[in-house]
Amino acid sequence: MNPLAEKYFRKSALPTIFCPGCGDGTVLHAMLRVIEKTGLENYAFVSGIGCSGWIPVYINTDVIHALHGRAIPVATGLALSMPDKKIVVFTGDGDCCGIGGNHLIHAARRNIDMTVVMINNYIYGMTGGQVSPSPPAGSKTKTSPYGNPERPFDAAALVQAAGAAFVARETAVAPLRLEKSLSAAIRHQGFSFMEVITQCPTQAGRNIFGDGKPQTIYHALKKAAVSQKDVPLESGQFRVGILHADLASPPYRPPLASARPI
Amino acid sequence: MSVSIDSQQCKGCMLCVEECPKSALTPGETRGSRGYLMPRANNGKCVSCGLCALLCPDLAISIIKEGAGT
Repeated sequence: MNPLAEKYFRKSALPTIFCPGCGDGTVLHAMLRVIEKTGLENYAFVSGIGCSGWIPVYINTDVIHALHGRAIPVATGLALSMPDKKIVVFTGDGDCCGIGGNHLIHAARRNIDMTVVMINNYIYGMTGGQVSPSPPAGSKTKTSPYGNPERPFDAAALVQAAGAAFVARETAVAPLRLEKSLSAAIRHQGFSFMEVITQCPTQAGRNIFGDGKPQTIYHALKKAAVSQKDVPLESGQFRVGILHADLASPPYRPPLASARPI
Repeated sequence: MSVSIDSQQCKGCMLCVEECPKSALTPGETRGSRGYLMPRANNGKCVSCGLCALLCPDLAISIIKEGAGT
């Protein structure tokens, strides 16, 4: 086992529930490397429902596994009651944009001091491959067998418009970039949002990418990710890196308990 | 320098084989304790860059550097 896993894993919860080739484990490994540099005692984790909700469960520390879509409200309460902790929320694309979309934009508007890591695998993977708000238009899934007629959500642009001070996007197939952006997102004071595009070979691979091998999605994501800021995007491509960072934006501070209304 | 793959954790996704820039990892024929076919490490080719260990979704890979540790 990797030495970091040996040090930080909750061994009783192993093996992980992730399918072979799932990118969630790579995100977990990147999180462990950030923890190794900053100290585990400074963190508290909140997760939603879905495959991605299991990422912090394997870290041997305090984790709240919240209701479907409601990870951010729980994390808001935690951030206000424990301001000295770094709150990291792990949530999926369906959990964050579909079911908990309202909570996401309001946490961004209030600039609550937390880091939201949205694992975007393009599909509701755990429940069997239903269409989520993020697959590209025309994607075939179990609930859109003739192609998805809807347009996808650009979650990074959404939270930036709602006032998030730090927005980044990375893929799980570039683990060093992922670690760097995750570290910057956690260091940021205030609401920071990270979209991590991962491979889901079991559901997205078989339905959207047409092949159940993780290698197919690995190469597709490597090809689609553009890190240069001035290169125009072609169809199917997306930009990775830190998309927006407003370091001067003040994080939410609750009013003092002594300051009572008249 | 060598790559050590934990047969208890490996799920045989073979992403490490794709990632390795030196082709030191190849699909193997032995099965791990979960019944998945595991990659085989050719330690003569390994330059211990660690890319496979960073990508491995099951954290099954550890890199042992010569002279490191005790």
